[in-house]
Amino acid sequence: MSSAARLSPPSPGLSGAGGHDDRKVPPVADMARIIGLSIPAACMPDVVANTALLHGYADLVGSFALPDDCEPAYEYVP
Amino acid sequence: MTVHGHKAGAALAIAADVRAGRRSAVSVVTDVIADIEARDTRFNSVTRILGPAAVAQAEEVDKTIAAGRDPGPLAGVPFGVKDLFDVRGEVTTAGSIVLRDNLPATRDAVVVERLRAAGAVPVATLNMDEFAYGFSTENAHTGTTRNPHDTARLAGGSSGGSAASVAAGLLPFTLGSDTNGSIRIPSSLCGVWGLKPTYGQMPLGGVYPFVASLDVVGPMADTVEDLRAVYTIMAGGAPVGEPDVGDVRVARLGGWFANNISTELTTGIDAVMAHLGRDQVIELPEVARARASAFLISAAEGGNLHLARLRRRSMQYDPATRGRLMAGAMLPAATFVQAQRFRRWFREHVHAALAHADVLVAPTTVGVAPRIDQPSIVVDGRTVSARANLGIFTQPISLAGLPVLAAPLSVDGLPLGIQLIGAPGGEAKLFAVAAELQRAGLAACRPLDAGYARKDS
Repeated sequence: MSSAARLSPPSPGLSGAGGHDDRKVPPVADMARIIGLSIPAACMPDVVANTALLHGYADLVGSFALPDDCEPAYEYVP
Repeated sequence: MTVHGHKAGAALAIAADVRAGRRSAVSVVTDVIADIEARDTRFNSVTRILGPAAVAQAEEVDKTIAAGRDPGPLAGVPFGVKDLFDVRGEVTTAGSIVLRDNLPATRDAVVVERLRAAGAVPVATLNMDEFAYGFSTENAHTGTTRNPHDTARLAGGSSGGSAASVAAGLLPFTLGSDTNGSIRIPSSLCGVWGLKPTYGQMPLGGVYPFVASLDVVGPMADTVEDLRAVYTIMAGGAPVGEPDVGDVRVARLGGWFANNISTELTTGIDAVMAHLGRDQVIELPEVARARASAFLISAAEGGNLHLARLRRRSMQYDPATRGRLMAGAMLPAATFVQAQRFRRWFREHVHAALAHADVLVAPTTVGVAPRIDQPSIVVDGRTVSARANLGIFTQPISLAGLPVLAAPLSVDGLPLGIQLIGAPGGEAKLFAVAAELQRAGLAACRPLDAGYARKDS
């Protein structure tokens, strides 16, 4: 067994708020509109940075092939 | 028994004194409150002092003793709670002004109720990252909690006030919550004992939620004895017999958990393993994805929890929390479901690893507490935000829901801590190992100035 070598996806990095990603810019305004969320302009850079960070993690988890019978752990018992 | 000059079981010692009539509960509580008022200006660990209510309860404890009735095993012991536990008569703020107009709680959180029934007296609410979303206890509303061992450094978070108040010697024990490491990280950086029980074991009634899939509450204390006593009462059960430490199979986690840590931390873990006479190393699979899954589940559930309020009054939120919650609220369902499915996968592999060991030893953080004016850590050669990344060793374990006892290593200089990780329901084995490390002097909490230990004149 071995752990993955990388701490996080190569982009957008680990910076959290304030990070950036030249590879792709999430369509934050559209995503916010879908859930009825209005993001103040002053907050947008921070939300974009955090959204990009989460998408990087989502890519990491999403790229892992899981068997079809692996169910979500909604009712989780350790 | 003493540990480096510090009496083991400070909370239990207070209770013994109060029960025997050597101290009054009122004097203990009033002394502690005076101590907080005098010294916490340096640390900012306390957000509210519950003065009148605490004194009133202490009076009841003294009356109970005077009447010859049993006041409980923690009679007159003062404690503090992270500002997300309901305390009757107080508004539960979760470290935010967003909830300040809520009505006061009409009853205690279940675990607070149990401790109060055991005679313990809540005297203060404690600082935290807003809504527990952070590892640093930097709060735009209530300020930053400072590390008692170096006030230029972070206490860690999100239960930073809980750890700092124990480390400062203001309180013998406190309560915190741990979703991604929020008990373990501040315990490590402040050098106190902490316990994150098995996920699902502790009642969460009256605890303001963050991430339902991961949230756990637990105690922090200055000795293993106090930690065990408080945990047992919080869990509502009778004490469980602990195994002989020699019968506990201990291994250290390698791979992900051996990288990026300071030399001092490696040396400390080496010493622990050598003392226990164990050299097995176990690697968990896909730890980076486990951490990422915990990150994503936290963002999605936390974001959804606050979405309605974010739509109406987002500008009331701490800026550092707001952006993270908004981003989390927008995560696609496909991402959340994949993370929850990965959690199931990871669980099976963690259980496979635990077939070879009862307790896994791992670092809690990469090193000592970051400076407040440089709130960052170095990981894989990159300087990254401490607030978001102090949990690289705790988040993967959170995903699996395992119990973890945070042990403060005996080190010269700033505190460093390790995680003692157990199988689900394996807290007794964690306590057995922790007690041995404390007995051997390899782990110890060294409060600055235990004001609560002062006796009545």
